[in-house]
Amino acid sequence: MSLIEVEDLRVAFPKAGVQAVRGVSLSIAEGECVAIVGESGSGKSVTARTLVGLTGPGATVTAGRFSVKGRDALRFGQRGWRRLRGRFAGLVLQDALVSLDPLRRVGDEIAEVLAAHDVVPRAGRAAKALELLEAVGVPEPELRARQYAHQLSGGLRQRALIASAIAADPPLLIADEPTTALDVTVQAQILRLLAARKAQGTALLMISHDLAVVSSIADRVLVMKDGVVVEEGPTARVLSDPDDDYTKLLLAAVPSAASRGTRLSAIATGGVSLRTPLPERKVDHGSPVVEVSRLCAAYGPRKVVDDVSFEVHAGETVGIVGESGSGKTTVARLVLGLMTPVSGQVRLNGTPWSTVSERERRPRRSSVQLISQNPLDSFDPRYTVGRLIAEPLGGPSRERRDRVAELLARVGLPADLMTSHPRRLSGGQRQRVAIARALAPQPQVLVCDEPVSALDVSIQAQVLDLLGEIQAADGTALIFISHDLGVVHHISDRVLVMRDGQVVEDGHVDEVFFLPKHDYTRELLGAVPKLVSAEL
Amino acid sequence: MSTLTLTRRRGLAAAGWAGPVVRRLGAGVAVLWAAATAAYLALLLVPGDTVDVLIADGVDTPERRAQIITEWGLDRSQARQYVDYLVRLLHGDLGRSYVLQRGVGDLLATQVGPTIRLALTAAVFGVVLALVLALTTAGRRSWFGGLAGMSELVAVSMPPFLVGLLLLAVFSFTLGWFPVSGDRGFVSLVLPAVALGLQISGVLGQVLREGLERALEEPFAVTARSRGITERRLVAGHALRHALLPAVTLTGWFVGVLFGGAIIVEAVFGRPGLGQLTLSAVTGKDMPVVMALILLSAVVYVTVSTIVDLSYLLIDPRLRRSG
Repeated sequence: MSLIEVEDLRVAFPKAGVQAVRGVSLSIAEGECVAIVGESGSGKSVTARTLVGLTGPGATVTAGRFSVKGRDALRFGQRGWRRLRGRFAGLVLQDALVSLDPLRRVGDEIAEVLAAHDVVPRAGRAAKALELLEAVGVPEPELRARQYAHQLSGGLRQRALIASAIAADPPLLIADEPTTALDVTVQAQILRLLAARKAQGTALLMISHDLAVVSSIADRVLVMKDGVVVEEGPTARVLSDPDDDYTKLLLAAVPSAASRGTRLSAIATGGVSLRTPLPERKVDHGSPVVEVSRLCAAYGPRKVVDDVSFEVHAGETVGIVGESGSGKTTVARLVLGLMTPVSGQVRLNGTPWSTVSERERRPRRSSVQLISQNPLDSFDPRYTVGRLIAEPLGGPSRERRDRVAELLARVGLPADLMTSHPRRLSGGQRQRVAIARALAPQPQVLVCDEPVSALDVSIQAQVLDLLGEIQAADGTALIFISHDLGVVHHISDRVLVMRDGQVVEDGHVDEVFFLPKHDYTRELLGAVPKLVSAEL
Repeated sequence: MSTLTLTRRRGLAAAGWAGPVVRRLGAGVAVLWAAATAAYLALLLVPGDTVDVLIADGVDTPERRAQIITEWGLDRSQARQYVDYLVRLLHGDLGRSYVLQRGVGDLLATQVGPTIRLALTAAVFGVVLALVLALTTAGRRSWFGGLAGMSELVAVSMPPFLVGLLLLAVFSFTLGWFPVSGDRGFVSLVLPAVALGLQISGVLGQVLREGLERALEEPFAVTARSRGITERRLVAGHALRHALLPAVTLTGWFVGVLFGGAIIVEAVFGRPGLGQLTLSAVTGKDMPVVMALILLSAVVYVTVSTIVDLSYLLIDPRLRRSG
């Protein structure tokens, strides 16, 4: 029997004038794993939340059929839904740091489910919470139960969140982007934990923007776009032989070793999918633009960068990979001259950079520019797009208008965006504005710190293509920091693998990723979820 | 701080309390010292001979002058005078009012009680009313919520003396339910407390409701709902604590409103208290009393803000980290 059966589900938010879900049909059988994949705004999360009656205030839900455990869910009142939540379906959201109540102890959060459904008598709840923590692989459960979410590592608190979702032993677990905020090795652990739940007979509904993440675990995949399911089928079939153009686009947009030197966005569709090459770029193997030698840096007593050396030539891309806390961003700050190294130095164009005074550095700052993960945070919220881009040129003026328009055109944005405020732009547009601003002073080096991590895969493809074009045209040197090995393999010539502030391995990207010498590199590569059809 | 070091420590230190508590108490002492020094400087900076200033409108006799010179050590060096003054304060000696011919400590002791009673009653009234309003209306788009919002706005914009006069007009002069003035037990406390507490309940109610509504939209609220708990439990167990944080921040401001407002309300209702004392001390240029009042308000503020900061630590475990 199906746990949930929905036909022609429609969810609208009339006040906002949004039709989030427009006719989705879905069924989940006992013990089955169904995945919904789509980009932001596709309606995948709204669909998932509607299944537990948590669509949110102001939503209207209609469906041809909406049965939960064989009962008509359209007639459920608040009380009816409450009985099902936690007991029939557990919900796991992304980022347990905010999805667990930050002001409450982890153990109390888990016990709350037990209390709500009176699964265990009051006296036994604390013990049961410990048992659950242990079951999801949290070591030292007695200690962890007494701690708060912020005191646990990302992986541990995600496990704790899962423990709270499965506490009342529901036959269905709904996981909305359960691994999105996590490092790749931790992501692999959480996916294994979910797979183990499935093996024990729990049905799973996985929501993700990442096809690769769900491909290892899902029996069936639904691809959603603009509130509609565009493709549905067994995971292997959808990934290897997609019918729908959008699915093909999504698959082709995933950067990997195979996509090096080619465009990720706007591939030819309709039967044949051919990758078009990016313009040729020349690497100047003469003297390097950036020379980093034996760099060490510390925050107080804590050493965060330890003996790091590398060079970047004009036109070249050097990737830096590593998990959170490995020192990647500190390297970026050092190269940008925003932090003083404890020892070692950074040289720019063969002259000292990190060791000179700020007064000497300032006139040369225009040659090193930053593109960050979250451009909105790097914009003054009161500035218009035009003013943001004009600022590195010396402030907005009539004469600089043309130059700003030119820069906007280079990043593929219309000139009339100049008067807009960045908050009103989409994520992809914002990152383009950030790139235009970085390009304004005609830099020799672009430091990109997770520049595409917050973007949907199709937008990520466009931004990566744009960076490739810029590099080919200007011969800019790129330092590209990312936790995503596929992205780094796609864009980089050479790569540094960092761990605990040290470079454990470096070399040509193919060499490092295909023939890793260091155990940690192997561990990282092994943890990356594989897409069956990555070589498309 | 890593979770590892956290497991190794015990007691206050283990919970990450020790550092913030010590820092906060140290800062409190420093502020009190600064206030004492400011009061002392005020005395020195008032134009004229210090003895004249201290006597003010009091009876001016050679004996009185000699007494002041010995009591304040005015025949000694400036530095010595200042140190003696601080030592006297540390012993709890606030000096004498030469206008009223009484010890300042005694004066305060008789006047502080009624004011504290008034302020506390007003605070309790304000907080309870705010909580009731916020809890019954948060997240509900009903006519009642709109009405509550409106009346909060009215409460915020009405100065206490106006509320006091209106209350007097209705409940004392017209209905005769409450006494018009004086201090005769709880009955005479009701109207002044309402006049004083209404403004607090307006602001606090708005802040609490906004905090509740924001907390109810956070991801953890979705998670909590997905566990099948009732909306009431969600508010009591999760959202209220989050809503308290911004409300607690306002406590310092409340104290200002309460004590500032008390001066006016005490005048309107003819009640004894610090308000009356402050008025007469300032108009009569009674420096020893003014200095003591400066110190008293510093003590109140330091105590309240220390309690506020420590209650942050109690409410929000994320702040307890720096050890």
